[in-house]
Formats: sequence, C-alpha cells, structure tokens
Amino acid sequence: MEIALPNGVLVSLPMRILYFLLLPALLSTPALADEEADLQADNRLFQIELRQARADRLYVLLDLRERAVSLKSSGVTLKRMAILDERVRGAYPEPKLRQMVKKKSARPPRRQEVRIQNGEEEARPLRPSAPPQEMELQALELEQMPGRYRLVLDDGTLISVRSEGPGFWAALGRGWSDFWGGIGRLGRGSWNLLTGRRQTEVVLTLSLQDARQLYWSFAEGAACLIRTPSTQDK
Amino acid sequence: MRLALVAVVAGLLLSGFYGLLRPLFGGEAKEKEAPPPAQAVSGPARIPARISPAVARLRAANASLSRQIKAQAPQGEYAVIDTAGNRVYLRRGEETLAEMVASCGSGNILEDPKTGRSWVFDTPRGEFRIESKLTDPVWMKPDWAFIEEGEEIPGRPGDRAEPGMMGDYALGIGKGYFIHGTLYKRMLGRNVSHGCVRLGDGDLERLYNTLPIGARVIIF
Repeated sequence: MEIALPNGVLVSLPMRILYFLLLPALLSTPALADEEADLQADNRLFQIELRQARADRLYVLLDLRERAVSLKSSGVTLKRMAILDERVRGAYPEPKLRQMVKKKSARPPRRQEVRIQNGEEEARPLRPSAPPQEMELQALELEQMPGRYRLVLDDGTLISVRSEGPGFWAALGRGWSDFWGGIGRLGRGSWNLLTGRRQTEVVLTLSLQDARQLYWSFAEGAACLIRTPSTQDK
Repeated sequence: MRLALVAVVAGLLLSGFYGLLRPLFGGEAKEKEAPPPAQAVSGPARIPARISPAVARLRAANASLSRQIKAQAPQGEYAVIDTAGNRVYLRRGEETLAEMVASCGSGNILEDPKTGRSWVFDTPRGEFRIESKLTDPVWMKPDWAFIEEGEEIPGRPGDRAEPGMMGDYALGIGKGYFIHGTLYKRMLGRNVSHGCVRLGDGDLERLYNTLPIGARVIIF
C-alpha cells in the first residue's frame, strides 16, 4: 500500500511507519541517572574516606564526577586540582580503597648528591643576601617533576596523567607520547586478552602545574579513592 | 482511509515522543533527576514525596557520613605546609588566615664517604603536632652539617652550638624537625633546607603566637 506525498512522490506505508518508529530513537533523550546506584557508590566511598580521615593520613580523592583531584587529610582538602579531560578505558573502578604502589615516567626526577666541601680550604659561604639566581642551587623542585606519567594502583588500575603544556614542542611531545602510549595499550590489551585479565585505565588531563604537583605530593603507599561519574554520564 | 492513516501516524508520533514529553506531564522524570552532589547535602533535607524510601535513606546516610568526615578536621588554628610550592598556610577550619612563603627540604642526598651513612634532605609529609615552642633557639649542628662542610665531627656537644641561625623562634614538630627562621631570606620560596621549614621573621612570629602546643601541622 502506498500513499502520495503532496509533491506526488509515492511512499509505501510500512516505510513511513518505520520512519516514525525510528524518529524518537534518532532524537534520543539523554540517559537518566540511577540515583540509588550513585548514592550507594557514594555511601561506600564516604565510609572508606571516613576511615582514612580518622587515620590522620594523606590520601587522594579522584573525583571523576566533579572532575577534580583533591589531596586530603583529616577530611580537609589541602589542594584541589581541576581535571581538564578524563577518559576511562575498561570497566569503571568499583568504590574501594586502593593504594598507589608505583609511579612510572619516561623522565623521573633524580635526586642530587650533595657535593662535600673541602674543610681545609677557605670556606665558600653563600652570601645570605645574594639573590637566588646568583646562588648555586642544588635541589629537587617542582619544575623537575614530569608532566606525563602513570600511577599504578595495587589492584592493577592505571591512572595515566597527561598535561596541557604550551608551545610547539609540547604538542610534538604529546603526539610522540600518544603514539607510543597507543602501542603500549595495544600490547597491554593483547596481553590482557590472552591472560583473561581485566584492567582499568583512567586517563586524566591536568594543567602542567597540577600534574607536577600530583606527582610530587602523591607518595607511593598513599591511599587513593576513585569516585566514578554519575550513572547518567557513564 | 486517509484519515485513518493520519490517526495512526499521530498516535505513533505521540507514543514515540512520550519520553520527551513526559516531564511536561509531571511524570516520573523528576524522580530520576541526577542527585545533587552528596557533599552539598547538609542536614536532614526536605525530601519530596516521590523519592523512594531507599533513596531517602541513602541521602540521609551520606549527609551524615559527610558531616562525620568534616568533623575530623583540626579544631582551632592549624598549619598546612605545601612542600612543592614552599608555602605555609595558617588555617582555621576551611578558612585560610594567612599564606606564608617558606623554604622546604631540598630533596638532596648526602653520603658520608668515611662511614657510608646517608641522609635525604626531605621535609617529611603527613600529620604532625606542635611539640615544642622555643624562643631564641640555638642550632645544635647535627653530624650531617659537619660532613657537608668537610669538617670533623666534634666530640663535645658545646662545639655544635650555633646561635642565631634559626631566627627568633622555633616550633618543633617531632623527629628533630622544626619550623624556624633563616638567615637566607632571599631563598624563601625555594627548596633549599635540610628538611626543616624556614620562614621569614614576621610570618614566624605570627605562627609562633597563633599555634599552641598540640596544634596540628599537615605537610604535603
């Protein structure tokens, strides 16, 4: 059976019905949040956080819902860093206590050994009033921390941190790193497929300063809490 | 016939767009709205009639947990030390009363070539308390200070004393670490210390006068 459109074109009725049936799907409504599931996840995370806060230990809260990384202690936020972009590869992490066990970076910062002065020679006192650039500074500082690195948690979850550095060379470095990161992911994915292992990788983009700060402050052995996005955003 | 077709199409359209139109008719869309962030919940909130009992219970439980977490925060004034930014923040609750430029540990390593002993000049991180408050402190040079300068370690304790190096005040936070003054004021803001936290004279005095013995010091 066919019906005629005003311009004379004939369209079959089943096709028209199909079109109208599919139309709502094309204009799909946003997914609705499962509030109870979100609240239950929050509840488990709050209970874990309360234990950490009572233990007077530094911990990191990775809030993928509010897009922020917070360094906390005793329930107090010491430093809050905005997540510029986030991606989760693999299953969303369950709300549970994790520990950061290793930092991996192509260029990890190196501590310097103090050069021992010769006590018999004339001492070379540093002039207290000399400006910093005149003084020979031998120290490990924030600027030496990497802007791209990977944090390995005790359950195998990976947190890959990237940073938005300015300039051409930074962009080139990002491209280079993305290329090798992609190859690494392919290798890990193949290995996980063969061994039947499931791994989650959270990819975070922070400002360069925040990425360095996180590397500096997130000590190995410190607790990490991950709050996943709302069920609406998953 | 044509009228019947129009009626069928209109019916399909309406049913198809039901999801879109549902909120306009006051359907269950309100019940499924994304919840406000749990941290923002304060006190027993007014619960709309359509919220399920399970959701209401969870909201109340989360609000209670959030309050308990916040209650772990230090009472009164306390200090937060950012070793990366070389800053000391004097805080009360969530409020920052003062931001001070400091010098924290250099992170360098010293190894004694004679004995093989080694030191890492990091400012320790974690939670501490003010254990002692000193005026006109005298620096008793530890072994590493002599080794660093290539000098012999003296046998008599009196030979270790160096007055005037630590400023007018020192606040002990345990394990031999202090918040104290410095002669090297131009280096404030850089990581140059051997693990202690150095401050300028005015800031040190304010911290000394504000923080009592037992006050919390959080270092990250």
